[in-house]
Order: sequence, then C-alpha cells, then structure tokens
Amino acid sequence: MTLDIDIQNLTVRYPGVTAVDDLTLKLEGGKIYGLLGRNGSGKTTLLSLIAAFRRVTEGTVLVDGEAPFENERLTQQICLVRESGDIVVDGDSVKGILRRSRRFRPQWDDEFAQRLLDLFQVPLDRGVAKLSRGQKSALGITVGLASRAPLTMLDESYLGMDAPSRYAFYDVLLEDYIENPRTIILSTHLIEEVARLFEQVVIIDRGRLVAHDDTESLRMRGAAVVGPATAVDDFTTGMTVLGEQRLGGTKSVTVFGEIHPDARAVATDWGLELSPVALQDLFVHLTKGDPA
Amino acid sequence: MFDDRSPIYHQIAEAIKNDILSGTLGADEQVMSTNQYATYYRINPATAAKGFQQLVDEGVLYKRRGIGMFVSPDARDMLLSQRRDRFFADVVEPMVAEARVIGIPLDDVVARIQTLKGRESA
Amino acid sequence: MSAALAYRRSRASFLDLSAGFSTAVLWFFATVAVIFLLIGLGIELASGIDGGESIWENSQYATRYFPLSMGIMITAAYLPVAVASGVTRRSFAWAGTGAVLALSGLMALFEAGGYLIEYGLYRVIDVTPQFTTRHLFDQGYQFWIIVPEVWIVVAANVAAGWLIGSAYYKWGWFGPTLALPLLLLPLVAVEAIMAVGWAGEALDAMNVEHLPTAAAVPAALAVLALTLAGMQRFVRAIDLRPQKA
Repeated sequence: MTLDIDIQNLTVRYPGVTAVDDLTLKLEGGKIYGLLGRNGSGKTTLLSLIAAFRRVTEGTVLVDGEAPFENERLTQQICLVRESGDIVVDGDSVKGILRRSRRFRPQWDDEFAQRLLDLFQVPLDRGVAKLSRGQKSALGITVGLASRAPLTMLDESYLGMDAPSRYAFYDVLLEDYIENPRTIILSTHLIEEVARLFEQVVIIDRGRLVAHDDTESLRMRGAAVVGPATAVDDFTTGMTVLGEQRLGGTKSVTVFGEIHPDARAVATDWGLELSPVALQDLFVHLTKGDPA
Repeated sequence: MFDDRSPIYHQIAEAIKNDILSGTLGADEQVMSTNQYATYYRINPATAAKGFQQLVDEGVLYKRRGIGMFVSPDARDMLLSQRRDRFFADVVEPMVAEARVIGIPLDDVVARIQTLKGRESA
Repeated sequence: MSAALAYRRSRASFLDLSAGFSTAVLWFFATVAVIFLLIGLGIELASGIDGGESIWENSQYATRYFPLSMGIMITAAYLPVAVASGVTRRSFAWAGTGAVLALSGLMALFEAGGYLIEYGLYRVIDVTPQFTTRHLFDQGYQFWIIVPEVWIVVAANVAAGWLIGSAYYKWGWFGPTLALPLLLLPLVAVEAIMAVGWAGEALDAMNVEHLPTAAAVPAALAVLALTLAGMQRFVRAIDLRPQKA
C-alpha cells in the first residue's frame, strides 16, 4: 500500500519568515522522491505539515485524499523522521525506542529493525543520549524503515554517518523498497550520492517550488554550453541562464530548459559543445542566491 | 558504471546491448531482473525498468510473463547491423572532420588504414 | 474515525507514558515510604509517641507535588514522541487524561495504605493517630474516604502540571510565566473546594467556611472534569516545535 500527496497553495509563516510560500505539488504514491533544498529552504516545514506535526493554516495538504492533521487512519501510516529524532524522551535506551515503535507502528518489523541496528553497529542497550551523531542518525533511519509506513519521510536523516554506513543505508533502502513498495521522500542537500535512487526530484528554494520532474528528465533539462565566448553568448540569448564561467576566450554557460534539436544542430555548427549537467550542479544553480 | 552524460536508462540499455554484442549475453538467455539490476547498481528500479522497456520496444529483449526478460534470438544480428549502419556516421565522418581541422591529409589517413589492413591480413 | 482505532492508539500512548513514568514513580514510592514510614515512624515509635500525632500525614504534600512535576512532563516530553509515532493529539490527550487519573489513583492507594499501616502500628501501643490538618476522614483506617480525597486532590495537581507544561511547550517561557496564576486557577479551585491540607488551613485562617463534604466532592469532580476536558481541546491545538539543532 502506498499513499499519494496533493498539496495546494500551501503557505506557512513563522514570525519574520515565510517558510513555505504558495507551494503546489502533487506526488503519486509508490515512488522514491528526493526533496532537495538548501538549509532553511522549507523542507522540514513542508514535511512536518504532511506528517501532521503542524496544523495547516493556509492552503491544503491531502494525503490519500484526506487532510492528515488529527486523522488517525492516516497518521499511523505516515512516518517522518526529522534530523535528530522526535521519538526520543530523555533517558530512553535504543531498546526502549524499539519497544515504542513496536507499540505505535502497525507494520513494524522487529527483525528488520534488529538487522539494521546490527548493520549500523548501534548497541541495543545504550542510552540514546550516549550515541554518536552517526549512530543517532542510524537509529532514526532504522525506525523510519522498519516502521514500513506507506508514507515514509526521512529528513536529512544520514547526517554524521560515514560513507560505508551511508552506502549500506542506500542498499537497504532500495532492497526494502522493492520488497515493500511505498512512498518514500528523502530530503537532503547531499545529492551526488543519492540522486540515482530517486525516481523523481522536487527542488524547493525559499519555500517555493523550483522544479519537480523525473530525475533523469530534470537532469536532461539542464545543459552546459561551452565554446568561444561570443558564440556562447549569442546561442544562449533568450534562454534561462543559471550560471556562467569564463576561462580566457572560452565560456561555459549553464542553461535550464529544453533545447530544440534545431538549436542543437546550430550549436554544432558554431563549434559549441552541449553537455548535460550533474544534478548536484543543477541544484546549486537553481538555488543560488542569498540564503533565506 | 554510469556517468552524467546521458540518461541512466539509456546507459543501462547501451550496457546490455554491449553485452549482447560481445556475446556475454546469448540468444534466449535470461537477463537480470529490473529489481536485481537496480539493487546491484544502486539505482531506482523505475529507472532500470525504463532502460529495459526501451530494449523491449526495440525488440532486443522479449518478456515472458511471470518469468522475466530474455534476449531476442535475432538481437545480436540486429544490433550488429545497426552498429554497421552507424559506423560511417559515428566513426568515419568525425574522424575525417577531425583530420581536416588538425591538418592531416586524407591520403595519410587512407595510407594508415592500408597499413593496418595489411597487418591484419598478414 | 473508528472508535476501535482511537481506543487502540490512546491505549498504546497511555502504555508508553506509563512505561516512561514507572521507574520514577517506583523510586518515589520507595523514597517516601522509607522517609515517612521507616525513619519518621521509627523515631516516633521509639520515642513513645508524643500525643499520637500522625507522621504519615506529612507525606501528603510529596504525593501532590511529585505527580504535579510528572504532569508537567506529559506534553513537554511525550507529545512529540506520540505525534512523531503517528498518534493524533486527540488520542494522546485521552492517554494524558488516563495518566492523570492513574497517577493520582496510585498516589491515593499509596496514601491510604500508609495511613492504614500507621494506624495499625499505633493501635499496637493503644494510640490513635491524630491529624494536624483538615481531612474528609478522621480515622487512619477509613480508606474508603482517604482514597477519593487524595485521588481528587492529586488529580487536580497532576492536571495543573499538565496544563502548565503544555502552555510552556506551546508558548515558550515568557507568556506562561506571566500567566502562571491563571494556569494555577483550576488547581486552586479544587483545593479550595476540597479544603484539605494546606487549603483547609488557609481557609480557616481567613475564616472562610468549608463546603460540606456532600457538596465539595461533586463540585471538585466537576472542576476536575472541566479542566481535563479543556486539556483535551488545548492539546489538539499544539504544533510540534521545530527541532532544536
């Protein structure tokens, strides 16, 4: 079972900041989504509203066609793990967290949870407060995955985890997603490693939706145009220019948007090189500017 | 395994085609499932499926319901003829263009090809 | 919304709260029992009981204010956990109400048990415990009066803690600190109506008449019920705080 998400004109204001700004977004069920945005771009706020951590005040959020706030049928099927875990009370041990999840999560898989803790080398008997940053993240991931919630959201959940642990997480995530298909949203600003896990990517910046597309299509929508400066300038006139770099007489301009085959032919004629852009670079270009 | 130059699903299709051309994958041989492929290469299963679907559409692979995907009996021949068709456009013409740009007379190129040919037949 | 689901989730949340509080409550019982029954009564009995004053009666404030402090933690510590575990605030509020009643009920049984033991020990040497503050009961063996008295008063204290803790969680420290007298109002009302312990003394000092027991108990129960119903509404309006980094 999977859950879809339908967000219409969502706005969230904190004192002095608009965290989410008139955001409209539709996510089909059963896919792995990457939610990309810089720190403070509104990712966590957005996820917190979907997970009914906060009440929606402007706009609507529907999960499986219903508003999730105070909707027990939905909330028990939605699992959001924020950075350092809201599921911990001072003094809890890792074992206690598992006991709690078993109590609250209808699809909880205890064996899977034990396997994950083993994999990430998180000791069962230790107090959560005594875990390292990476181990805390791993505990959050364990709870997020073993809950098997039809809508699972992991918010910056692998901070502090070393590379082997992160790759172990990616493997386990894929494996478990294939065995138990569900809607998964991973929010992150470390894109390089995970981009290929995402079927679709949502990029938000300063609370606004910047892009939402299949990962591959999005990647193909960006292009770096490289060649003699004047030719590059002529070619990219009228295009959405995300960034440019100059080295002597050569210029590289990153553009965003479809490039018509005719235009591609022109580029070749003019001796310009067109190449796709890594998602990470595209993200950096799309969200450039003063931090919110 | 994959780079950022083209869509991943395209690269997946190319990789399987290469395996068929080189004989690593024989006619009617079963290929890895999309899910196996996805976990193995750590990519989204939908992306992998898209690559496989492209091959099915091109007639390189065929599906057997409930069992999996297999290499079409004539896949290798088909791919070979495609590659042959593309050979001049993809390899020879750019080579000639490059030779012109950097000032290598075409006669020199032909001479070199003759030498290589002679070495092969020797 | 199916009632069965709501019940299941409230129950799970209540069990989670109970599991979290159980260790502290057990330590509290042990400590209070040692201080008042073992040490206090030990000294009193050894010194031959001077006038038959009840020692255990002094524990009545410990069993009010410790649960009050636990009440403060209900929302502050457990609401984020419940909501993040997919429990609605509504179900959590039922669990909180359950925790208030259970915690105060345990305190009532504990108090009544203490009075009973004390009464028995005093009777061995032919003394009857005398109480220095006002109560609805006048003999230490009257557990059928002690239990409801303590239960109602302690429940009002825990509910007050829950209200204060929730207000601090929702609005931060400044507003609730200013509004503290207001937040304590339901508790003060119940204490005044019941007029036992310090409230009884305070009313005596001000020469205010106590309500007769037959009126006091239903009135106090009504205020308590109103407080808990208000908490039910209040808790549903609490957003989880953004995370501390």
